[in-house]
Amino acid sequence: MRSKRQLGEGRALRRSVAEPQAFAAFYEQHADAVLRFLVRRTLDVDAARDLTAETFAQAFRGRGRFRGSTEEEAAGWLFGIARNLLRHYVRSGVVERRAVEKLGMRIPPLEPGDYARIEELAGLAQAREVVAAEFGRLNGDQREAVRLRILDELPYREVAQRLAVSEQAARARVSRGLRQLAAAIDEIPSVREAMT
Amino acid sequence: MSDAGTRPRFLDDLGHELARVAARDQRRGARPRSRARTAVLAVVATLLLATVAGAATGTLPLPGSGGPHFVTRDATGSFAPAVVRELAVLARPRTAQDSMGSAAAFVTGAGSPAPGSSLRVVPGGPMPGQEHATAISLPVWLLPADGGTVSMQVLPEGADGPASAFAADAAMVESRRARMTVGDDLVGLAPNGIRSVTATLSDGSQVRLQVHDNVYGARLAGSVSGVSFDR
Repeated sequence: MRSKRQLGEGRALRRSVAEPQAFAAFYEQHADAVLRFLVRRTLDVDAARDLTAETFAQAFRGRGRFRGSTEEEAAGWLFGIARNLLRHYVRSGVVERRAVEKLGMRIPPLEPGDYARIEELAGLAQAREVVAAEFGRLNGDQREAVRLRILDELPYREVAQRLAVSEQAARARVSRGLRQLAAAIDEIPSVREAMT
Repeated sequence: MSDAGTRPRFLDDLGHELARVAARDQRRGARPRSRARTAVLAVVATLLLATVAGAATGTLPLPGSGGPHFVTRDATGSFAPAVVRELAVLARPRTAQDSMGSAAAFVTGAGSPAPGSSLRVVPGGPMPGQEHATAISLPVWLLPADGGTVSMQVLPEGADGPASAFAADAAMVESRRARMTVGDDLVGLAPNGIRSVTATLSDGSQVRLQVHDNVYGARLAGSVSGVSFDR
């Protein structure tokens, strides 16, 4: 049987369709987890800030499309938005801001102390260790592809030329490598907790 | 002094900003778009365009589609033999699931298709392991249109009309122009013998989609710049 808490949050999101201000409770419930998730995936506090704002802006604009009723469903729906934005960011290097702009929102600047607070919130030190260890475990082809694309920021065409493979093969190597790194990050207890 | 260990100020500020937007919407009585409302708006927009541009010829080119046409009249005929030769699914036996019912009259303005002519098909989805595509569940319909062409219509469940539609002849099917996008969804026709297609997204990434009943479809993480048949 579903608990009151399980039902409550999904209902808050549904209620916010008719009462927009009810969205605040939904935001408060998930803001920390979404920011933590995005910081750990981007390892970039500024990008994570913008992605967090766009995630909630899209959730606010699209709340009429949420069809669930439980906390789990509401969280899954929200993190689905975050993942889509993250995928777009990883692929293009650009943070989408369409919903933020359409709502006429201002993304608040980071205060001087926020960098340290966010790094602490996300446990970045631990995440960096995990990523470094997992990077070393990637097979040679994937490691080189990820290095060229992510660290050297080369376009896929150039990555393919350097590796003497097709562009499609280069994309596949980078993609598999990043998936392996992402899986390692997901295993960090606080991240797993944030996503469930 | 360390600033770590407390909630980032940014999150409080963002919460205030969202609250400001929510309060503004509450004052205006604004409501977000539901799927049903979006579908209805799409239908109204499509029909409005069709009414204006289709008056003379009965057809309306879809933006960026490079050939396929929206059909505004006579969907009661049959498929041309050349189209049936390209698309074997058109010759398959019909079942009760293939009947469009009253939706067709709204779509074409010319009454329901001849009995046993329309088909409901399930598009082939992304091949396993495709990163930039997910399966779609939109019902896709095929029915005869002007000159024996095949009209493909994406009809959201419960909607009175299609989210989008086009008609194609055999040459369009063979030249890969028989496709359309509905929001982030891509659907298209592939001739007999094609078991998969590769869609190229505007950022250069590619996704492979299976073909089922001569139809492929998927929700893509980006706009489509081209589709090729895997031969």
